[in-house]
Amino acid sequence: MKLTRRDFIKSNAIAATATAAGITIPGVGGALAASKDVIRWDKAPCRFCGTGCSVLVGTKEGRVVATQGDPDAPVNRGLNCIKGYFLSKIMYGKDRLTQPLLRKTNGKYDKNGEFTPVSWDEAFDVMAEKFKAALKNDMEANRGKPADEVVSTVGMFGSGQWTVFEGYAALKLYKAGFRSNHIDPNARHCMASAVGGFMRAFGADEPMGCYDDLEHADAFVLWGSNMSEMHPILWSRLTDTRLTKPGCEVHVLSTFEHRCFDLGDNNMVFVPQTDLAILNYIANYIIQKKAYNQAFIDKHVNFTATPTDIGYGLRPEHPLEQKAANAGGGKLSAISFEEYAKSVEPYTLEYTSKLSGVPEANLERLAKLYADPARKVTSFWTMGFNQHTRGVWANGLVYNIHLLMGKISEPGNSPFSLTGQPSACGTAREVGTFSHRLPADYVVNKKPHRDLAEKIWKLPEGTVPGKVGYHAVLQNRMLKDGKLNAYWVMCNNNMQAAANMNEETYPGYRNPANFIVVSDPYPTVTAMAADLILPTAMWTEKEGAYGNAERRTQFWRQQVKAPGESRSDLWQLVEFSKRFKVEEVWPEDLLAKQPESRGKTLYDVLFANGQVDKFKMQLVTDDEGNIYGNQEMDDFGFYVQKGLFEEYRRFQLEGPKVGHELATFDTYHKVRGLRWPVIDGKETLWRYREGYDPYVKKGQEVAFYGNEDGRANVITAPYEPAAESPDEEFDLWLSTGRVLEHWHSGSMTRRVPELYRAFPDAVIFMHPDDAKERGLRRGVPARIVSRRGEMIARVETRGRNRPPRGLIFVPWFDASRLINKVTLDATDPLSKETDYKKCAVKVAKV
Amino acid sequence: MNMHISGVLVRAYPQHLETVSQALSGLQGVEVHGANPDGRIVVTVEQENEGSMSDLLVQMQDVPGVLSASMIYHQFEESGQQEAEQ
Repeated sequence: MKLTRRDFIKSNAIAATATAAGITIPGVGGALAASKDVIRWDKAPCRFCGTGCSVLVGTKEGRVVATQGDPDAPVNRGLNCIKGYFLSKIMYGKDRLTQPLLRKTNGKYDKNGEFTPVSWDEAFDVMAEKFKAALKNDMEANRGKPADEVVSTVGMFGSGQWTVFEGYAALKLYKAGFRSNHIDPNARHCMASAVGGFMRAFGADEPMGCYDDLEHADAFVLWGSNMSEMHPILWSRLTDTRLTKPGCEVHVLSTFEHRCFDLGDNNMVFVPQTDLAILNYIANYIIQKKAYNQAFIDKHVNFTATPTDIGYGLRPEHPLEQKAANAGGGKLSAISFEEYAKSVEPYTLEYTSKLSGVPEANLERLAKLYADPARKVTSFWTMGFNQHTRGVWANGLVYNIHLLMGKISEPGNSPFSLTGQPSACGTAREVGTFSHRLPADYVVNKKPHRDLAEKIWKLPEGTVPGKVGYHAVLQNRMLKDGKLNAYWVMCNNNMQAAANMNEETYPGYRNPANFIVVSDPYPTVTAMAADLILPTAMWTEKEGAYGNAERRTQFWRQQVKAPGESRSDLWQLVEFSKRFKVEEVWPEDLLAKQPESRGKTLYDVLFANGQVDKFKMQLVTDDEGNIYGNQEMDDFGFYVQKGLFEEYRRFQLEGPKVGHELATFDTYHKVRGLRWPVIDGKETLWRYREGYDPYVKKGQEVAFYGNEDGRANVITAPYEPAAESPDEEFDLWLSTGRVLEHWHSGSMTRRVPELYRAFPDAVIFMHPDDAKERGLRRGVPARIVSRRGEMIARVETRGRNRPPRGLIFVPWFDASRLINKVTLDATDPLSKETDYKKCAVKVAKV
Repeated sequence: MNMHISGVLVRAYPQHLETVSQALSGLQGVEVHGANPDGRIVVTVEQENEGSMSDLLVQMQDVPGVLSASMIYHQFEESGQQEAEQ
């Protein structure tokens, strides 16, 4: 039979889909195998969200032409969501940057000049000159100061989309090279509250459970997570369980109705911020009914209280901060069970229902579910909890419920914090590219932790500064105030993403005292606000590694060459380090401790240090003998990724903290990822539970070994109001978020014509009665005004997001309609994460 | 003329299988090839230009009774290649 090309491709599509549907369709089998001689297929984790789906990438003549869900991947089992489907196109946008661009007037750098193509040499010359000027000032300011008083005016804003290698190289270049802790990832905007919650309750970051909970649970509770649109593959697994397991239930909580409500059995729309009260109500219910697991509490739980009235993380002179009794307070104090019980007593059914607007019957049904010892409950949350001025509290309050019941660390009983970025866990959190962190949960403000880093890095004692650096929001404020002067933004779009762009971000970038470098594949809003733009290789144009939300580390090989002169973030970081002599960053007393480093470059001491450059050049191949490129290996002459990874692993093996162990570099190129800790080649599915986690000894049942006493902390915290609530003038809540087709700020997905068409412009989702009251109707443009700025968008009163009266929802992907001119940069004082979900606005006719 | 072909797995409540399959078949460029009685439907989507693909994907998700639609396979070929025989 003659097959046309079209028939052939189509039968491939049918065969792959039929396999995923669990059926066979006659006459279409086997086509896929035959296609292998045309297209080379290799695995790679998806570039988009934190789910960590594996994709088979089809390459033909040096170009990615096809993708399919990886049938061998435990995460997605052959499925992909719409975003994954567009992966093959994000690299081929028409406006891809291929040369460095520097602002120039009359052939010279000028902050107010026009972007002009320059060579990498010229770009790095100008950039190094600006960094050196800032570093010279720092050397002067730090004269004679001990490590924990060292200050800096150079900084970096990085990413949960960095590969593991890139994050590690960046952390090392900044913390050890430039001696600056002002490095923070965009993951601060999405994950910092989750990290704070984990560290306070368990003394160790990241979930105890894994995606297998999706099949083991009897019920699911979604707290501020629109999984259906944001984590569609996890949602499809959850849907499977709901449809096939008798008695399975789905409870959905949100401040507006979204697509998850279609499947929900108990749907609850609550007044913003009252999730805190609902969480406490459930704890109170469990205690009143004496449903708690006494044996578990006795053996594995401590009760504590956190300071209250802690402010909203605004500038210290802001009236709300002046008013707060314990601004920024977070030190836990021990309390008794009885004191804890008393603290949640005010959260009665009546009070909570009235405050939250959720009917009593729905609240009670939810509480009963958690309180039933026979039903396994998995709780999911994302930005609804994390982007919250009490985000760390909210994370803690859900752990309280699971801990009271002992419903934790076992199949199906799982409090589960989901992530938004592909390596928010693997890079930002595990490598520790935060202003306070080092790899493997170590921190800069503890001397023994810095000692460990300096030992592994073969650097003199006192190299790594001990003061916590500027976090994301503070970086923008410090840029504006002229205290951060040489600044590199990599792998994110923070001009668009950060809150309060009008008053902080933009003035900071354009401050004449500062030099701003942005590395990106595309001319994003952030890139256009920079002084120098560096063209960047993306996704499978480089070799990489990501870590997803279930602790799974996944690798990929370089599939194609990056266009023009673009280079990976890793290449940029390592190459730039060659421009600095150690004498330009280290004071004499450090040099005296290590005289053999005199005259060397940062490249020599950080990367060509006998460890990172230990692995020689080699061919990168797969099991079938296909050969892959590796741009960094070609340029630096050693296997950079492998050297960095093997050095990074030592933090997991040589320090006092256990439970973060990863497998060897070579292992990950062979497997579909492994969930850490990986002990003797075996991954760990449920942490802290005997029989699953090798660190829990026989007879212990459960051990929360991140804390010294092996116990987890229940932390009581009350309901406190939002930083800004609607009033007479600004009479609506504004919540921002994402939509299915676009990912975050849209800098990749908006390059893809199909995605752009699906949701061309951000709209204002609002209740039809709210629209009517303001003389508006569906499709007409309206102004959204806050105390800080305004924007215009069209009104949408139908569709998938259906707000209640009094609240509007605006997606934030649209670079031409920047909602962050309107939002408030109020943060959780503990996690420093911005609350993008709550501020007060008014909406009026244009 | 370019060719875009994808395989999509649509999930519906089993009792809605038939009506959902019918509604999907009614969309331009969409073909239903079979279904698992548990609610999983095998669908292909074919488009000649890039623009209409995503409109279709969104339309599919908005068909009453559809719980989710997942991409399984996608390939595109640029003009001139589709005449080649296998």
